[in-house]
Amino acid sequence: MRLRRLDLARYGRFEGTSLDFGPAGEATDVTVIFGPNEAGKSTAFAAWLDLLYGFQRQGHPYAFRFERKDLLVGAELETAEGPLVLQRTARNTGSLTDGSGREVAEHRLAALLHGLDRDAYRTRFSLDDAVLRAGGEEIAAAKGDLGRLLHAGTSGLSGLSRALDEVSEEVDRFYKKGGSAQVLPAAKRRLRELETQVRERRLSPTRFDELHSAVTAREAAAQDARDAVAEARRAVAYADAAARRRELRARNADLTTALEGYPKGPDMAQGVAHEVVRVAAEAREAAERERRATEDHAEAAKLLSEELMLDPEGLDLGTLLDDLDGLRFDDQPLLLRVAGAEADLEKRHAERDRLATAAGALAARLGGPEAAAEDMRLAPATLDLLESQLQEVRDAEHDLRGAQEALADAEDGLGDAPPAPQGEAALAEAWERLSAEAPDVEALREREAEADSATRLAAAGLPEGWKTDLEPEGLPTEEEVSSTVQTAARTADALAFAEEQRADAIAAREAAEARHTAAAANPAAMDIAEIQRRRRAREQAWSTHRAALDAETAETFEAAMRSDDEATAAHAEGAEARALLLRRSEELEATRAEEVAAVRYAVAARAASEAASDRLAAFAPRLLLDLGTPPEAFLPRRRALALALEAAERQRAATATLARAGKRKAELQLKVREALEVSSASLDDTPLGVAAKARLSELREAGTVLARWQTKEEQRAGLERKVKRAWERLAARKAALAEAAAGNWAVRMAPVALREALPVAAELAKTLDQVCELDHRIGRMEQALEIFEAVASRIRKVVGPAATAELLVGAARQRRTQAERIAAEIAAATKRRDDAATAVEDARAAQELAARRISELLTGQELPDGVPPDQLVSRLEERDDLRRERQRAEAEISETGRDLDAVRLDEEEAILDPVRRAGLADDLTRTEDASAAADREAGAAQQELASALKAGGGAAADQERAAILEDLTGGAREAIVRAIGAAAARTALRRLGDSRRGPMLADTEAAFRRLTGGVWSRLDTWVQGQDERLVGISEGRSVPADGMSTGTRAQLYLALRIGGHAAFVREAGPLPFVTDDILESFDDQRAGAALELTAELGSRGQAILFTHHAHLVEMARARISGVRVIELPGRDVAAA
Amino acid sequence: MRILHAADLHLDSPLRSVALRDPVLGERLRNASRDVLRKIVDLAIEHQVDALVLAGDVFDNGVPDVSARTVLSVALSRLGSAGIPTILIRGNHDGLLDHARYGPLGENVMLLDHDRPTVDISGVSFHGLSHGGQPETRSFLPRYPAPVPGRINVGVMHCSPDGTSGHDPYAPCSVSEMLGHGYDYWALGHIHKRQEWRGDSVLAVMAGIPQGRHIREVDGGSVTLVEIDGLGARAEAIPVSLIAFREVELPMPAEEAQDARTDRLRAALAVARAGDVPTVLRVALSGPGAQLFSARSGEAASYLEVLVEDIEGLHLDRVLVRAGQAPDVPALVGDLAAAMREEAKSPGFRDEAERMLTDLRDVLPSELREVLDPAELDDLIEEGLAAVAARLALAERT
Repeated sequence: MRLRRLDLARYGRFEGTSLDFGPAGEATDVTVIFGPNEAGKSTAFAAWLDLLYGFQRQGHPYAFRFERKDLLVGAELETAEGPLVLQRTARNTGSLTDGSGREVAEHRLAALLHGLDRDAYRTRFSLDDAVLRAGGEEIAAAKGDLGRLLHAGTSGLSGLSRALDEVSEEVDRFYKKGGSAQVLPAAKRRLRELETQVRERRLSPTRFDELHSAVTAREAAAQDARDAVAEARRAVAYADAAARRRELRARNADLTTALEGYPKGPDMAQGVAHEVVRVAAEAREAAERERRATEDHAEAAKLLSEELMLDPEGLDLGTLLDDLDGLRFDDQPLLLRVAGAEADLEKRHAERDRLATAAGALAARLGGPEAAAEDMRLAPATLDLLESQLQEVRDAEHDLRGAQEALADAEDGLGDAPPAPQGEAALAEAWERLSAEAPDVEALREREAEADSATRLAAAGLPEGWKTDLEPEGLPTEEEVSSTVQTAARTADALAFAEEQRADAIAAREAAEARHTAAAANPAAMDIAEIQRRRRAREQAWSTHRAALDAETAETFEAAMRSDDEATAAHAEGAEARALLLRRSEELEATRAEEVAAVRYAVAARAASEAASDRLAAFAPRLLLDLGTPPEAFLPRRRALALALEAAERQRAATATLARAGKRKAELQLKVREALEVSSASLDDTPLGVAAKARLSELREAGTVLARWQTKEEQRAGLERKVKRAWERLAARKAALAEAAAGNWAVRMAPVALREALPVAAELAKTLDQVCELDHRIGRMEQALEIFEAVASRIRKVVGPAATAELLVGAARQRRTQAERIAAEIAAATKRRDDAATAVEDARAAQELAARRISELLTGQELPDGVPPDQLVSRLEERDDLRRERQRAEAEISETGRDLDAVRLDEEEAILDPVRRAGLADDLTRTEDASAAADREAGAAQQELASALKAGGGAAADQERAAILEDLTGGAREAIVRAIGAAAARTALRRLGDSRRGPMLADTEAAFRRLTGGVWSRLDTWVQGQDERLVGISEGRSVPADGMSTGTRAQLYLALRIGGHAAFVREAGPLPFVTDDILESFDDQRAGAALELTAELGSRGQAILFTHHAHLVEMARARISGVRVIELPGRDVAAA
Repeated sequence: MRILHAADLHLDSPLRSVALRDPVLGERLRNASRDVLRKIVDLAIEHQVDALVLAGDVFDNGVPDVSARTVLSVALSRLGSAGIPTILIRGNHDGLLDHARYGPLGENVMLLDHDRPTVDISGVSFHGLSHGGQPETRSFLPRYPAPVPGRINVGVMHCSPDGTSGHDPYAPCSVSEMLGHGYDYWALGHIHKRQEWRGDSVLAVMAGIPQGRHIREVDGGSVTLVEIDGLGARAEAIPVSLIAFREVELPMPAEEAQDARTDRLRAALAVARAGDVPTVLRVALSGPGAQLFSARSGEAASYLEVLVEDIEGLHLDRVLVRAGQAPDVPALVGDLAAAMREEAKSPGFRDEAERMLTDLRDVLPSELREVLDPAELDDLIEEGLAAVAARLALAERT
């Protein structure tokens, strides 16, 4: 694939810029693109990559003048199948199209690119200064590894060695044989520490058993010690018990002697002494009571016989008064009712008579003089019902009168019905549509006139009949015209430049020929080929002479021998002359190649210029121009024609619009006229609008009048219905009143009379109720007085007569109270006399009982005469205390021996050694100390076990251990994976090196030799173990690639890339190779050599060289035959 | 009747994650299993349960630390003081539950065994059998007592119900036969993933491990609160774990802007946390960009670590590249990658790789030797080729 033309239509700062690389040269295909910094060299290369692989999706670096969506690049490619024109847009799909806008499948490009992706193409087929320097570093990093270098040469990869080394270092950081600082050994050391911690902190079953056994053993030892202590304590206890028993026995003997001086007799029982003292005190108290009772009996007997007399009648009044107080009448005490009756009875009789007389008068008003009051009485419910029904009748009568008056008013104000209007709706609709939809015909007519004027103005200067003449082919687009004019101008410029270049190249070649001729004329410049030719001539002459051995052949041989000798001598002396001749030869070859290229370029430029002129000429008739019209007139004519066409189109549209508007307005007016006729309007000469609006106003007023009359009629009919309903309601109310009056004297009365009688009837009923109430109260008073009198007659017999019931009852109560007081005093005196007699007898009995009780309590005791019981029992208590002390001593002797072995105790009691007790105490102290020590040991063992059980265990250390193991799990897997991958990569690199070794190494060697001007004459390889290293040979000295200077390594990398390019082209085919100012760090000689190598790249495929150095352009022109130079304008120029 | 059912505490069995190399997190979780036991006791008291049931593997044979018994004893005595008895059985990891050797655990702790397979609490009969020292290859179910008529019957069993996998196949048990045994509730242990089976009037629950210990134990983290009455048994899982383990797959496209990638990964990580529980996250990178993203050693892990640090309660474990994803190797190194694959097929290279593997295995701690299984050599080679090719591509791009 070859790039013929790159179109920067809209890209970066470029618009409509094309880089035309022309046809491939015959010998080499090199284009130098020259431009100052910022001229757009990098932009052009990025555009080329974008064309091949598409625009990046976000943040496109060259979307600053045009938005990304508007970016557009194109190219013409030369392929094995012919030329291919492509365009790339920013669309997400279908972004690659051909020259006609048809979508082109991406795989077509992918096939042309031999499957290389963007990065691969960029790296393999482009080269800049940075890559060149990185390549040099790669050589150093690879330490001459041939495989890596050859791979870097073909792939362009730099950093491969560093990446592989990093992988190996990562593996080594995890684990390295014999290493101790790596992750793995460090982790293993930590794991061992943690395992130790776990072992120490964790209570294993075995350790638990050990601790448990220790506890058991020490607890047993402690128990033995405690047993020894117990035995020592027992010995001390026996000794102490024996001593105590000896003391007690001595005390007993003393007590027996003391008891002999006390009365004989048994021990007094518990409490006997106290009882004897208490009973003796009681006997004394009984004697005192007997004396006081005898005196009291005598005083009571005297009172009864000499001072107190009983009143039986007064006591009997008590019963009558109690009965009277208990009587109740109408829920009140009878005495209270009797007092009220005595005061009110007479007044009630007088009031009752007055009310009966009033009732008779009311009955007479209702029923005449003969009417009985009770006959004229109406029940309260009847009275209420009649009153209610009378009110209903009054209300119904009032409603009826109101309705009748309203109806009369409505009928008076109604009048006759007005006539109904016709056709208002249709007329209103037609008029509204005419007003809203009728177009402004006059305005449209003015617009048509303006369009006609504009058309004539736009066509001014155009030939007659221009519009008709244009119709067959139509007006070409501005882009077509512009492109064709620009192409013609550009090709003309290119032709002039090419002719100039050709003249320069011929002159340069002629000068070079002259210089070469002069150098060749120098005998010292004889080259090795001439020497070899003369040597072959000498050998040929010798062969001939040896066969013939005659004089002629001898002379010929001699001449050849001399010529050979001269040549050898001249060659030996003419190294400088030969070098000059070699340079002249190379110069001549270069100028010849440049001449050929310049001639070829000029021929091509002429062909392109002529083709562009032909295409331009074809546009003249389409723009209605004469043949020969200068190109500058093409675009103005095209724009004038376009304006005229647009004006003509606008005029046609205005005429059509006017016609449609007139027709539409006439239709709307006809509809209005028809509606006026239907509404009975008179159509005279009045304008249609005036007539329609006047008729519409008349119709709307008539409609309003009719609507008002209809409303009043509806109101009158409603009032008529209301009067009818009032009559019906009045009749119903009267019937209800008659029904309420049925069955009594009111039925015979009209409503008006009844209305007057009802208050009298109510007053009569109220008066009769009051009479009944008084009758009842008088009866109850008389009944109460009768009941009281039945009791009062008996009371008067005792206390005599009284004026009122209250006075009678008061006298009776006083008599009864006095009688009751005397009776009570008699009873009290009687009881006092009887109680005193009883008390005398009781006191005497108590004294006898006490004497018997004391005698019983002291039964069996020796009783000395004349000794009061109190003193006697005190003496007996002293005796009994001594006896009890002796018994306690006996008991303590027995108690001291309880729980002790009797035999051992007796034996101990028999021992009378005074220091025995101290010895036993020492023994006890010693065994107690031993026991405490044993207990401490047992406690320590228990504590140790408890601590172990309560310890945190090895969980924390185990946790860290698990985390480390987990870390190592991942680390080990990553390490082995990387180690295997790196090993595979190294082996693969060796295999790649082997496969590419021969031809690629030869190409690289040739390139390196040329780049270094022969200083490095050869490349060779060293085998070290499994590795093969690249070395350069200079002046017989071998230098490893990584030992070369920085500049030389860069040149070696360039040579490797050239070798790699050759290998790729051999295997896959050529692709454009782009270099960007890679030669600026080279000296002139090496830069020249590099340019020649660029020419060599160009001999295998297309080479494009970007530079901003003018001298490199000149060098390229001088050294690369047929080189094409495209000059990019600077940023300022481009912007202008 | 309300019981709290737990199983497989594996006391003192350590958590296994690279994330725990973080000193703060490591310190917080150094006694995770003991802390979870305390949480279980707190829960039992809080819910006023009638009994705590531990269905085996309270301890871990791999960690024979007798002091762990003290932890258990103290915890259960606290429960006993609250009037809550504990019923437990020995699982296949419960050598430390040998009462004959280590003594009883407490007054309110009842170990069910062949000698005493049934205990009655609050009118409910609990039936259970303990594992002995030998692997149990037969079903325990036929040896379980018949249900007590007229009572609620609860079975406690450490077994492998059919249909479960991933654990030693101790005491296999048919689920249908278990559900048909006549009990009202089966409190099961041994499988670390929580699971329920329901019959007509019976519920069987595998409680699951209350605290997962590594990235493969993601389905436990709870105990089961059970209500049993005349209407049957109802179970509710209550989370107790201090930390959860999760694995998330992050697809890595071939091309992606850095900002977009950061936003996308941050969003994916933000939802990866297991509810409110702090979570250790293992990330598996997949897709055509995975190898390149992971190419430089530690780069992916450091990158993700920075993102994870901003998400509370999330901790990064390891970052893996999912096997089987074709690396996006540019054509630039394509020929070298192809040559590497070709080389990898050669017997000589396989021998060399195997030797390298053996060398590394020989120096690894014994526990890790199985991690680098020679049977996985092909996978390791494939992974190595992809990783190194990606590294070379990365080197070229940068």
